[in-house]
Amino acid sequence: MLKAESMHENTSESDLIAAGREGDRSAFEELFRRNQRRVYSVAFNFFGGDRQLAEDISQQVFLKLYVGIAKFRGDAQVSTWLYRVTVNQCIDEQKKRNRFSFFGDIFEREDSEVVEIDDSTEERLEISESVKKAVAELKPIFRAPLVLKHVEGLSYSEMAQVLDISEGTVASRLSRGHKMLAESLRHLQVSGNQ
Amino acid sequence: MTQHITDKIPHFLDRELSDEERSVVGEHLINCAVCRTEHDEQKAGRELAGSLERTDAPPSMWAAVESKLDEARESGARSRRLRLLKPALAFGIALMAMLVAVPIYIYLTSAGPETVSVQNSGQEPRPSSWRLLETRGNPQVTKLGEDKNLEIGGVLETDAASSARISVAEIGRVDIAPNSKVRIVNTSAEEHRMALDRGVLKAVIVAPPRLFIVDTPSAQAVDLGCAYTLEVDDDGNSKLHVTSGYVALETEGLESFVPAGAFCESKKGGKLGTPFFGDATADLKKALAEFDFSEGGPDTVDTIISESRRKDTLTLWHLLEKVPVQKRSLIIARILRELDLPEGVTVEGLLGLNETMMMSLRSDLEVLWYEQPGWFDEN
Repeated sequence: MLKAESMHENTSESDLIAAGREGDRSAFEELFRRNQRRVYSVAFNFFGGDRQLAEDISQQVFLKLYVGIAKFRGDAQVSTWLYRVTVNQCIDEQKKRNRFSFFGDIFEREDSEVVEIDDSTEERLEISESVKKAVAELKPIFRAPLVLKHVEGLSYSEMAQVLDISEGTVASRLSRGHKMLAESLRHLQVSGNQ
Repeated sequence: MTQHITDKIPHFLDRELSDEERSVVGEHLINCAVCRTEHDEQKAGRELAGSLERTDAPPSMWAAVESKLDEARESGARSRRLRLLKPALAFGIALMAMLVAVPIYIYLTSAGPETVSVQNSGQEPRPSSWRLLETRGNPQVTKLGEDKNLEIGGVLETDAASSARISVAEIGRVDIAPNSKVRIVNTSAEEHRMALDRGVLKAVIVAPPRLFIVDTPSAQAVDLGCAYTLEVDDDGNSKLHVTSGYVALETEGLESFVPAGAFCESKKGGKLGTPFFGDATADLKKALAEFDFSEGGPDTVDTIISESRRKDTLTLWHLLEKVPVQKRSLIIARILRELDLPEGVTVEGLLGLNETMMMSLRSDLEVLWYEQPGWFDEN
């Protein structure tokens, strides 16, 4: 259970970082509280709604923040840094999964058991599940800007900063990602009926 | 010859252009088929991606992170000792990995062909136009042919304990909820048409516009590339909720254009409601229901205008052709607070309901209908 909300609710980000550098666990907890949803959401959508994986990645990201906070220069917002670390962590995880892809069936079965359809929101979830799966099949370089844009609402300049690419490259990857997504979902719909 | 502006399309769709650049791109799109196709493809993917959403982390995550922080601290203290053991540990791990991985690999590679042959032996038949894919409970079905193909004139009726899923050619699928009745009306290269007499269906269609149509006792829902839920009550009134893309709800001579997130109703006897977003204010929805179905007076239009947000221009645009000219000018004034009139569109033309200008305005307004709340918020 989070306890830091009342203690550091009004503390600025730079003060939290300074306190975190001194080993103040409650300051770090507040940084976690302010950013957990961002990190978790990106990982969750990067991997097609895999909750367990999203949680594992989030834990790794915050561990990196904790270890690296002493070196955090403060020339960008923590959220920007976290987005970058999260995307990199997701890409690393994707590489691992590709390496062990011959166990693919086993992982897929485990993943599918995680999805629970609630009758009251079934219709929304159906679309959302199809899109999530299609997004998770895109190459990571197209998947990352798509998730940052549509899940986190980042602007082109913010995405460029997070992904360390130009705004023109962001636009180009987004447009290709969008087209591939439309095509990929069309394919899924057709195969689903066969 | 004019240069294509495909590199500007993502910026255009994401409203990252200045007003001046937007109108240049918009004008080019109107005149260039190549760029328009590119625009439409990107737009389709963008709309699909719009269903991705933020997800809350589980409440237990902080405890897990905290535990990892403690572990990290402890492991720091142990690291010196571990470093001494590292070569032996690495050798042990490698040996264990080999012992586990080799038998699994042998098992998987030897089992591979057998698995493939099992899957092939149960090969599915080619998709039919209206094939019954899944059922729950015992829905009543007539005219069910070979390969579970529902023939034209066939009826599928579910009770409180049953439901069904039907494929629609190769373009999508329809889920039939409990207590529903559907009929297969037609199937051809030009259209796949079914009727929902009562109950609820959910359709997910990926196809060119107007290929999939559902008749109800009070209207017809024409797919424009989308996913939606359609409900028909015991009196034959319909309620449409679009979850992705667009649907046109039509009665004789009237049409409501319903985008994702919006609802539209129709009443038996041909009364077609005005589309509205589900998150519109209660006062707007109440005034709109009075206007559409209870012959609400001018006050209801004033309420709708005053309650409208940026994306409720969906409702306002549709109201333009339903209200007297005096109210029409108030609606146009409200819309002008959100955007400039598109090139070639004049207030006079809109007051006169010029069809081309109305469509051009709708095209520009669509961007507002897809803006997501909170996208540009700091937190």
